[in-house]
Amino acid sequence: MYNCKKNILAGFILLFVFVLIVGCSGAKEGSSKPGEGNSKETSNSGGKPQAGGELVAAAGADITSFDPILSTNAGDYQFLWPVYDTLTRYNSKLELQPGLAEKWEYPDDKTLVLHLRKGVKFHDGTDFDAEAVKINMERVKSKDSTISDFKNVESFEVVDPHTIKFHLKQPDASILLALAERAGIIVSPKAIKEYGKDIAQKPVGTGPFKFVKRVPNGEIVYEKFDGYWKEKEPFLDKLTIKIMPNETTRINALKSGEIDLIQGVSPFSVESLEGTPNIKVENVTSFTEKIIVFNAKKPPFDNKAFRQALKLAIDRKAITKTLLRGYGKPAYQIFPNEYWAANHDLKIDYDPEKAKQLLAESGVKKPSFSMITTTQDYYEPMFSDMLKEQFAKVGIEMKTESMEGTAAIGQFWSEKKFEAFSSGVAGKSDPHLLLEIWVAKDSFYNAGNHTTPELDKLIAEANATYDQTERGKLYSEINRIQSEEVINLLPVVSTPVIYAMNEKVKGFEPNGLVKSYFPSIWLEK
Amino acid sequence: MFFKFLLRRLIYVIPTLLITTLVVFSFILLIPGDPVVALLGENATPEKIAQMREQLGLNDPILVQYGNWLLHAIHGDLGKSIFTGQPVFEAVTGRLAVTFQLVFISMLVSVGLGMFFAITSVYFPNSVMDYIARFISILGASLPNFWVAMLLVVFFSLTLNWLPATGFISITENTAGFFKTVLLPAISLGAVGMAVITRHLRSSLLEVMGADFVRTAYSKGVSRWRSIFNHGLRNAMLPVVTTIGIGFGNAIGGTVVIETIFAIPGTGQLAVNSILQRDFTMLQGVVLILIVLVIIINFITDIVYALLDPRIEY
Amino acid sequence: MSIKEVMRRFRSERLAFVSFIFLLIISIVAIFAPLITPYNPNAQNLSNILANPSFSHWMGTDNLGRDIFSRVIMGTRTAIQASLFAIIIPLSIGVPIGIIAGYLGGIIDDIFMRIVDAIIAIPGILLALGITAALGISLWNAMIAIGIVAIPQFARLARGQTLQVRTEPYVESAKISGAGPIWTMFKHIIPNISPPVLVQASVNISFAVLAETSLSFLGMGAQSPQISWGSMIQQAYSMINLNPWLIVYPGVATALTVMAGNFVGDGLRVAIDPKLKKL
Repeated sequence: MYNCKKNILAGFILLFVFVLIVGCSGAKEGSSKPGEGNSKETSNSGGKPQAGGELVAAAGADITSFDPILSTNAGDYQFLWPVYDTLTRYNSKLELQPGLAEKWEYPDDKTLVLHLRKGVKFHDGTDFDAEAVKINMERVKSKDSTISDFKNVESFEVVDPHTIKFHLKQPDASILLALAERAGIIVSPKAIKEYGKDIAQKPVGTGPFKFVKRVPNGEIVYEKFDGYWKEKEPFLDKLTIKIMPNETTRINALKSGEIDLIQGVSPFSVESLEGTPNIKVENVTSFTEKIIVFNAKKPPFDNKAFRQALKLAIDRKAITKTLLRGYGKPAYQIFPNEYWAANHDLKIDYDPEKAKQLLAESGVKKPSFSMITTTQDYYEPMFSDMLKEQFAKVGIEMKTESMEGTAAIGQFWSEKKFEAFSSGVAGKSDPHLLLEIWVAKDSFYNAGNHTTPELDKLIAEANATYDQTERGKLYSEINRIQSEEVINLLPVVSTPVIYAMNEKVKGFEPNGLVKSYFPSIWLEK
Repeated sequence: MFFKFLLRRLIYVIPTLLITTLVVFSFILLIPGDPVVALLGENATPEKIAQMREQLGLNDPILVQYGNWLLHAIHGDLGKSIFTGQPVFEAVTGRLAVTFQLVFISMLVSVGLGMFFAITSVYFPNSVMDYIARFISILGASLPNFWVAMLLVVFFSLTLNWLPATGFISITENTAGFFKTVLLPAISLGAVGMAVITRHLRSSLLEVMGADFVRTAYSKGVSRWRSIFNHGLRNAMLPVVTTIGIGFGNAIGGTVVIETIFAIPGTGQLAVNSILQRDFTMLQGVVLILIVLVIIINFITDIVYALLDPRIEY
Repeated sequence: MSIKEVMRRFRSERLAFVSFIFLLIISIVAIFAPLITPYNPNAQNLSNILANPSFSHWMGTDNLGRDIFSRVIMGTRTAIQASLFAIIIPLSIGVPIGIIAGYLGGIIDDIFMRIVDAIIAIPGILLALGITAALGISLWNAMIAIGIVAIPQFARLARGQTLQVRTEPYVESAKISGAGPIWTMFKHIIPNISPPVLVQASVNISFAVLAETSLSFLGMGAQSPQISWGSMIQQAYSMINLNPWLIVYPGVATALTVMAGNFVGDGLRVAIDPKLKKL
C-alpha cells in the first residue's frame, strides 16, 4: 500500500478537528435547561384587521383528498376549510358556532331543522340553498363515503330554499358538531355533477378562498374569493400551504422568513425558537394524547385490579418533564381537563405503593405483558423505555414489540394479536364522535370490546341529550367510570400542540385538535 | 457484432424486470399490515374497512392481482396509489425528476472532487494535498452516508447557517435555491463515489505516468501538467467510467436514507414511505422504475466501456 | 498458493494487519461487553440527563440519563453479530448457488444468473427494508435481510471463479480420469475460488455494519433494549438542537469499524494477488 503511518495520523487529526468543531458548535444549546410549564400564551386579537398580503403556512403532510367524503386524515382540514364552508363551526374551545346554517332547532327529539344563510354563492357563481345541502348530505350518507357520522339520520327534507330538516332514527346530539367537520362540508352541486369523481382535483365551495393549484407533496395555493358572504373577509389576498414533512425543515424555513406559520413543533425544538426575534410561539390546550390502549379480553388485562395497578404505576409527571421537556401535561382522561365534556375533578396520583398492593390483590402471578410500539417516531422508544422502568418498579414486566405504524394498527385492532399498544388519540369536534370510536363497546378502537353495562348506557344517554350542561354531566360521569374501571385505555400525557409564527401573523385561533383554520388570519404591515 | 451485443443485453432485461416485479409482489403477500385500516384513519369502522378492501381489489387472489397489474403495466398504466389516489406513473416520474437532479449533482461531486484530488495528489506527490487526497480516499468510503449528512447539517446549517438543513427546490424553479438545497445531500451521497474515484484514478494515473510513452513525451519537454492531461487522464479514465456506472446505482440506493434525512421528495423517500404505509401499487411502481433506470445506466456504462476499450469483445 | 504464504504477506500489509487486530479487539469487546461497560447501558437516571462528558461519564449521558460510553460498547455486539450474519448467510447459500451454476452451465446457469441479476438490480437497502418489513421488525430479521441481500454478489463471484477453474487443464484431466462432479467441486473448485470469496467476505463486514446502522437508523433494525449505533444516531438526531455531540460517538464507532473492514479486504486482496500491489 502506501505510506500509511503519516496518512492515518493526518487522517485522525483531521477527523478529530472536524468532530471537535461540530461538537463545540452546539454545546451552548446542549446546556440549556428544560422548559418549565407552558410557553407564553400570546393574544392574537389585538389591533384592527388589515386587508391584503399573502400568508405561507407549512403542513406536515399533503391532503388525502379534496373530496370531503374521501378525505380521511385529521390534517386535511387546514386544506379543506379555506375552500369549503361547513354548516356549523366551532371555536377554539370547541363550542358550537353558526356556519352556513345561521340557526337551528329541534322541534322534537327526532327532527333537526337548519335555517340556512341567505345570499351565499359558490365559487362557480351558483347559489347556495337547501337543495345543495341535501345533495351534499346524501353524498355523505352514501355508500361511497368514508364518513359514518349520519348513522342515526333517516332522511333529509328540503322545507324551503333556506330550510332543511334532518329526520332522525333516534335522538343524536353529536350531529351539530359533526356538521362542523367533513360531514358538514358543502361542495357546489354543479361541480359534483360536472366533475364527478374528479371533484378532488377541482374543489369548488363557498369558502373564503378559491382553489388555484396543487402540486402533490409540494404546495397548495389559494386566492381570495371576492364574492365571500362574510363582509370584509377574507383579509388575505393569497394563501399558500407548503408540504414540509420534516420538522427541522419547517423550523428553518420559519426562521429564514420563507414561511409565516408552522405547526407541530416538537418539545425538543421549542427552545431553539423561543429566543428567536420576530417569532412567537403558541402552546394551546391539546386534545392529542399519548395513551396505552389494551385488549381487555387478553390476560392480564382482563383483571381489573391489574389494570388499576398499571394506572397508578405510571409516573406521568416524570414523562411530561423528560419526554415532553415540560411542555404538555399529565393526562387523566381522554379529554383535556378544561373541556366542557371532561370530568374536571379527575386526577391520578402516581402511587407505586398502592400499585404494588393492587397487584398483590389482583392475584396475577408473574405480571407481564407485551406492548406494540411503532418504530418511525423517534420518541416512541424513549416512551416505552421510561414505562418499562416505571412498571418494573412495581414488579410488572413490560416487553415491547416494535413494528411500523400500519402493521401495528392492523395487528392490534384488526387481527387483535397483542395485549397492548402504545398509541395516540386525537380529539374530535364532539365528545360522542370520539367515544363512539374509542370507548363504546362496539367501537373499532376498543379492541377487547370491553365495557360495563352502566357505561354503555351512559354513552347512549349522553348522545340523546340535547342540553349541553346535562350532557356535560353525563360525560363527566363516563370519564369517571372509564378511569375507575380502566375500560380499554390508559391516558398518559397530553402532548403539546405548539404553533410558531411570524409576529406579523394576527387573528389566528389555533384549536387543540390540530385542525388549523387559516382564513381568519390577517397580516400586520 | 456490436449490434448483436446490444440486442442480447436488451433481451436479458426482460426476465430481470419480470423477476423483480414478482419479488415485490411477493412482499405484498408476506408483509403484514393492512393499508386500508391506516387509510381510513379516524373514519375506520369494520364495515367501511370491508367496503374499502373490495373497492381497491385487495380481496382478489394475489396472482389475479399480479396478473391485472402486469397487464396494465405493459400498457403503461401502473395503477393508482392506494393512499393518495394519485396515478403511480405520474407520482414516480414527478419524484424521479427530483432524485435525478440530486443524483446528477452527487455524481458531479464524486467525479469532480475525485478527479481534483487524484490529479493534485499525483502532481504534488508527498505534499499536504497528496495526504489529504489519500486520507479522503480512505475515509470517504467508510463513513455512513447518513452520518456524514448529519455532521454537514450540524456544521453548515445549524452552526454557520449557510445552507438549509433540509428541503429541496427544483432547478426549474429557482437555480440559486436549487444549489443551496442540493449541495449538502449531494455531498453526503457522493462522498463514497468521490473516495473510490480518487483512489482508482490516482493509482491508474501513477501507473500511466510511469509508462514509457509518457516518459518519452515528458523528456521531449512536454510539461508535467500537460502530460497528465494529454496522456495520463485519457488512459486512466477507464476505471473512472466503471466507477461512475456503479456509483449511479449506489447513489440511487443511497437516496433511500439521504432523502429521508433531508426531507427531499424524491423516489427514495417515496419507496420507504410506500413500504411503511403498505402502499403496494406505489411501491411496485417505484421499484420498477428505479430498476429500469439502473439497467439503463448499466447499459450505457457497458457501451461506453466497450467503446473506450477496444480490447473488449462483444 | 499456500495459506501460509498469504498470511505472511497479509501480515506485511501493516494497515490491513492493524485493522484486523482492531476488528479482533472489537469482537472481544462485543463478547465481554456486559463486563466492560462501567454502567448498565439501559439504566436511566432522569436527574442527570444530557450531561456533558466528565470523568464519571466519558461520553456524557443521553436524554434519559443513560451512559453513552456504555451504550457505544454494547453497540459493538450488534455490529459484530450483523457482520457474522452477513458473511455466513451468503457463504452458505450464495457460494453453492454460484458453484453449481458455474459448474453445470447451460439453462440452470441462465436461470440462476437471471435471478441474481434481478435481485442485484434492486437497491440493496430497499430490498433489506422490504425483507425486514416482511419478516417483522427485529434486529434478528434485519440481519437475516442483510445476509440475503449479499447472496447474489457471492453467487456471481463464485460462478465467475468456477467458470475459470472449470476449464483449467488439471480439472479437465480429473474429469477425464473419471472424477465425479462432487469430488471435483471439493477437490479443485472450492480451494481455488476461496481466496476471492474470502476477500468479498471481509469487505462484507463493512457492508453489514453500514446496512445495519442504516436499517436501525430508519427504525427497522435494533429495538430497545437492544442497542445499535444506528438507533443511537437516530435518537440523537432528533435532539440535534439540544446536544449535537450525541451523534458523534456512535458515528465514529461505525466509521472506524467500517474502515477496518475495508482495510482488511484490501490487504487480503493484495496478499492473495501481489500483482495488485500497485493499485
